[in-house]
Amino acid sequence: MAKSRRTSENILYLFLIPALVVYLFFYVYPMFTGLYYSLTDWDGMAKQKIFIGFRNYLDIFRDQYTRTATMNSLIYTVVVTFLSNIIGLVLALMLERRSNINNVFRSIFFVPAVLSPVVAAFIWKYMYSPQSGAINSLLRVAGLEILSRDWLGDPHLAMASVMLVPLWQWGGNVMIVFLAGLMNIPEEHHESAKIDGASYMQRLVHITLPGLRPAIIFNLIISTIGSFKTFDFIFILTYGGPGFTTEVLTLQIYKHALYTAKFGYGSAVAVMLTLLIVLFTIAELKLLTRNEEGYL
Amino acid sequence: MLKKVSILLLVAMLVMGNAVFAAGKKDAGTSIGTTTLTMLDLNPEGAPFVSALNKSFMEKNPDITIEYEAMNSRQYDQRIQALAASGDLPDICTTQMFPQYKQMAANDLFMDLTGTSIMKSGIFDDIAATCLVKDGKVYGVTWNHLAVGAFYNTDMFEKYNLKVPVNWDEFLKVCETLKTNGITPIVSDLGDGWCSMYILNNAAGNLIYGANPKYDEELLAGKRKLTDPVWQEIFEKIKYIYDQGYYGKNPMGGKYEQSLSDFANGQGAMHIIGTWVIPVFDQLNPSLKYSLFPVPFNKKGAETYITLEGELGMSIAANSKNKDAALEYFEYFFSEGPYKEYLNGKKGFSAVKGINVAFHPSVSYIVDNYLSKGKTTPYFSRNWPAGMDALLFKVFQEVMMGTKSIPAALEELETYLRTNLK
Repeated sequence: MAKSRRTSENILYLFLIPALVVYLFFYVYPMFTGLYYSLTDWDGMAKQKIFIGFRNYLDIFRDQYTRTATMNSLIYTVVVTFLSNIIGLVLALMLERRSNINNVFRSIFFVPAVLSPVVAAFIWKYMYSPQSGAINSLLRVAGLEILSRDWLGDPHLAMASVMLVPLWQWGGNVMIVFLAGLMNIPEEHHESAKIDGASYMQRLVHITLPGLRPAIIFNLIISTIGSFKTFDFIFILTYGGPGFTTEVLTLQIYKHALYTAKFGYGSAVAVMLTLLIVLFTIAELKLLTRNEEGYL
Repeated sequence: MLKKVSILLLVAMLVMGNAVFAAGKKDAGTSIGTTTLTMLDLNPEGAPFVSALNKSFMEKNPDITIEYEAMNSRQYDQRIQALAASGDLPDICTTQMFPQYKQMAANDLFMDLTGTSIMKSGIFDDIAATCLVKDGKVYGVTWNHLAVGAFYNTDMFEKYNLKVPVNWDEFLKVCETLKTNGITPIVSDLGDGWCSMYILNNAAGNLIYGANPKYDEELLAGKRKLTDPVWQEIFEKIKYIYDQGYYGKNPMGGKYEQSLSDFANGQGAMHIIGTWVIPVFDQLNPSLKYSLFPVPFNKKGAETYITLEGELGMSIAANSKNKDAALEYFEYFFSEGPYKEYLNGKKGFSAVKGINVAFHPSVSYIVDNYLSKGKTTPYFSRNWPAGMDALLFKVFQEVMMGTKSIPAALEELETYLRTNLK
């Protein structure tokens, strides 16, 4: 009996092989290839690649543009991750109760998440246009022209304007995960707390938020990874400009690989970004699961 | 433990994509009885005219099919570099005189055209024949030439009694008069960094290259520097017109596509750009009256020059299996009938000796006053190392916005030049 169970388990593992082959070929192999390129001076075209050790990695620390891009990536990631989770949480708490009107609002807030990021970026590029854009036009109609701005061209506003787009697009997505988390918190906990005289804030802090911990961990990690890897929004909206105000690491990788004929250096920046993401993710996990059995 | 492994696996899967640079191979374009030439182009403005020429070529050569695709420059640069990295360039691709293409030529990615019959025939003028030359070998030829300057709305100039300026002070007076009358003097496309190179080209042409055609050799040899006072003057002059509001209220928000429409629809009096936009202006507003002059950065009494450069060119992939068909296409493209058709549509200047078409009315002034007199200068970035123009666009924006000083910007450019010069 035990033997036949082991045999059927082995057969099940066989079914994993095609997926594993695809995974190895399309993820693991290119990852190690990128790692190898990062140790060469390859320009992206030449037949020969000269091994230069860790020189590209040392250049990263000397390159002021990569330093600026790293700082911008960190700011973008911290702000977008924090705010998208706050927005998602507030929306989820507001729309937690089951009703027809709440269902309508849930759908409205989730609609941007089904759009392609490229489409979302083009919509907002039009909205932000200083002359004919919807935002400044609305401000003019409302008699508030004094508030109209060059949203993407002003170096003091460009990054904030760019960050608003992922918040708009992914806030609803975060909300859905929190709504699912809220459904898993037994209603009896809230009822008991109410009988004991707990206020809404006390229930939020002591029942809701602890109950949402798995959803918070999931949302934070996904938002962090997504924000570090952001490319399409910035590529379309500002291309890293004006100047270097919205230049992020992914854009640096792209430009080094395709424009400056420094593919090896671009690969080193890509490896550094990967390490940065892994470090941030581990730190978040450690921080959020300090007293919880079973996590890191 | 299983949770730990699951989470780490999820994280690993999500982040691994960052290190992925890979491109696939595709089949060569030859099938039994017919030859398929693949052709990639970064010339969306000229695509209708290239398509028409391709169609007539295929009618005359039924055994050759051309698969043609045109896209904007950002998409194109991305695509061509990825194809180059995978050794899978199309049979015919658009090239320019810029460093990244010279780097591709240096890596033997393009066919050496030097000994081919079309090059031996000597039909091309100097600009066309030298647009993509590396170590004395020709790797590409220019389709046509372009001129860069300030297109101006002639009705607006007439309304305010303005004449074409021929020196810097006159240019500033024109801008001030327009601004005083509530007209945006220059429509802005400075939000797209690459558009800044056109005013810079006029400036460098008038203040550097006109008087010293060998400036590039001296710069590359280290006898001249980008920190020299003349570059300081160039940036100061452009920053002055930026700070005076001659580029309008929100200059850094101005994008290329929008600027074309703004100029064509009378939202501004001038647009500093190249002649490839002429068909676009005519399409956007057929009743628009406009002409072109070089932005005169020179002092009163000094010569003014216009920037004239090879626009786009064609190269053949070194590993193409259809080189003969591609060369046949080149011969056809530059033969009198088809080439005239192309020039008439594109409104470009001829790159072939002895073949000319009637000029578009908007370029008559520069033809009479500059081109016919040889008062032309090339792009200043012809011999810069790869990636330096991209850095220039960034620091230019920073200088205009006031977030970087001019000496700091020039120092960065000079450092990049010396570090990356091979």
